[in-house]
Amino acid sequence: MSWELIEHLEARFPEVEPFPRGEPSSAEEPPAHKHDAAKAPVHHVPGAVVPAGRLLEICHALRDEAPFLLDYCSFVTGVDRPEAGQIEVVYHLFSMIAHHELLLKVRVPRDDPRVPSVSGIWSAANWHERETYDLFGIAFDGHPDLRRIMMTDDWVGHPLRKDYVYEDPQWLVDLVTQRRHEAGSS
Amino acid sequence: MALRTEELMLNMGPQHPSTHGVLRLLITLDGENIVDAKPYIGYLHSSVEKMMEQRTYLQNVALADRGLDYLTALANEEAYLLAVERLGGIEAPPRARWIRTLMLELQRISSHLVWLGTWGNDLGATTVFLYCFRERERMMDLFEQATGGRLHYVYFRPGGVAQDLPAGWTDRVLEFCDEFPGHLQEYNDLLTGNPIFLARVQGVGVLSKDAAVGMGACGPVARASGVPFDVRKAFPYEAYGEVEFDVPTHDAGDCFARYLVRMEEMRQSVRIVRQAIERLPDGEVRTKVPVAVKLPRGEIYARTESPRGDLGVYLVSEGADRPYRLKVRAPSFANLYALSEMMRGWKVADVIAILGTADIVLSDVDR
Repeated sequence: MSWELIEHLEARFPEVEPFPRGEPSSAEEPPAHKHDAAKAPVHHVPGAVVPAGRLLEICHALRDEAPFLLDYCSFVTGVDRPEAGQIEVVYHLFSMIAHHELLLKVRVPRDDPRVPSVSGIWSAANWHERETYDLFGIAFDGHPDLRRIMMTDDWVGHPLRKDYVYEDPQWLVDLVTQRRHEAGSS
Repeated sequence: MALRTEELMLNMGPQHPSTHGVLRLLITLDGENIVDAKPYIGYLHSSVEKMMEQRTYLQNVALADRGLDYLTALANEEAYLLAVERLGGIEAPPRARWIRTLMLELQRISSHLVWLGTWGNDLGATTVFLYCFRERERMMDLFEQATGGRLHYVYFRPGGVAQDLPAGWTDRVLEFCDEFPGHLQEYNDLLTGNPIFLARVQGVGVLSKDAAVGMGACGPVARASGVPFDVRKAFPYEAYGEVEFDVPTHDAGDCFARYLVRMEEMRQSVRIVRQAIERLPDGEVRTKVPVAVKLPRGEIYARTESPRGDLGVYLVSEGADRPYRLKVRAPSFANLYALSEMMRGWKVADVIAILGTADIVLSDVDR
């Protein structure tokens, strides 16, 4: 059912780019974990890549129009692809009415990652977008309360990016130096 | 003469016994009425998702077990392994699938018992806490006999479970199943026979069906608001497609409905455990999977029904022996977001009662 949904989506918005559909594996093939590393990635969840500029319009249609009726946003997250210079913003949508699911991906450049916020369409996306902003540094335009959620407000960097290197925050360095000093002078 | 009034900001937490973890709630009060309740989270953030990118698929079982919800370690392992096994085309033998189902339902009961006990304790019904932990202690002993661990088991492995059940173990579980419905009745008598308890929970903290879906609430919280969705029924995994059970729902959406739903879930879990023991097939409990198993390139989202709700794992593999990206969709995170909606408009004295029925675990929220 769900791959049919992608066909409907493509018919409604020709600019979306559906995920390549993997070949159904036959019984003679070796188990998938004895795989060929060069093989194309297999998408187990149907979905499509969407241009950032059309995201809000497409999401409105996905929520309100039949046959989509995707009224539930399970999560929003990111996947960092430094070699492509991009971050993929991933949305998982689900329909509590029809019980079908869909992944949406938006590719944004790493140096200026920006997408419109869908929190006005699915309230549930609010915190998920904050988390994605916090951990990947993606700016969600139009988000009502775009603050860090996991890290402290003064944190530098976005930990789930592939090139992130952890450094102790300055207050911790100062505190340790001070404690060492106190221990040495007593 | 008109009185000058102003709203009061009340900080609850980060250290507060009723938050069961480290949660800060910033509550805006107009007199006694809650205008807004904003949760501040992240105090337990350990970036499990980042750590998982650096460990092999087998090592990550332990991380999924510990890094997420500490009351439902097996459910976390299941969600993680479901993603790994489906992406890698790894099949667990039938006996392992049934053992997993059995274990997951026992885990559900033990998790719900902690919820019921601590919630009762928060509301001043300390006796319930002691009764619930009496039964939970027995369950932990059962877990320990089968897996070696009491809280963190690392029992499920890629392709099955770590070891077979010990001799006589299923008989002890059946014994527990015989007694447990009587205990449930006991808790029920203690609570619903108490007019003070009923006054504090009935009609309090209502979450409407539309709000539950829109705000992403899941699991017992959503079902108590009339959303008839359970991953075990909608997308059966392990042996859930072959067992009979009912999914309790309620339309009221208040604290009492959430209580009733979880109580009924425990009864249904006993039903599943019985069927699993009855139909437990013989045979292997683990298929051969290489220690440093590599998964093919691809991506998958596997969802399971953890005791707290819709627990999903989004896994991206680039063909290596470790995940390229792993996202945990935590049910507590979603339910905590819906909390402000449940609290708005109620009295400050209801905060604890409402927070308790959301049944959040902060290590699951923060990951």
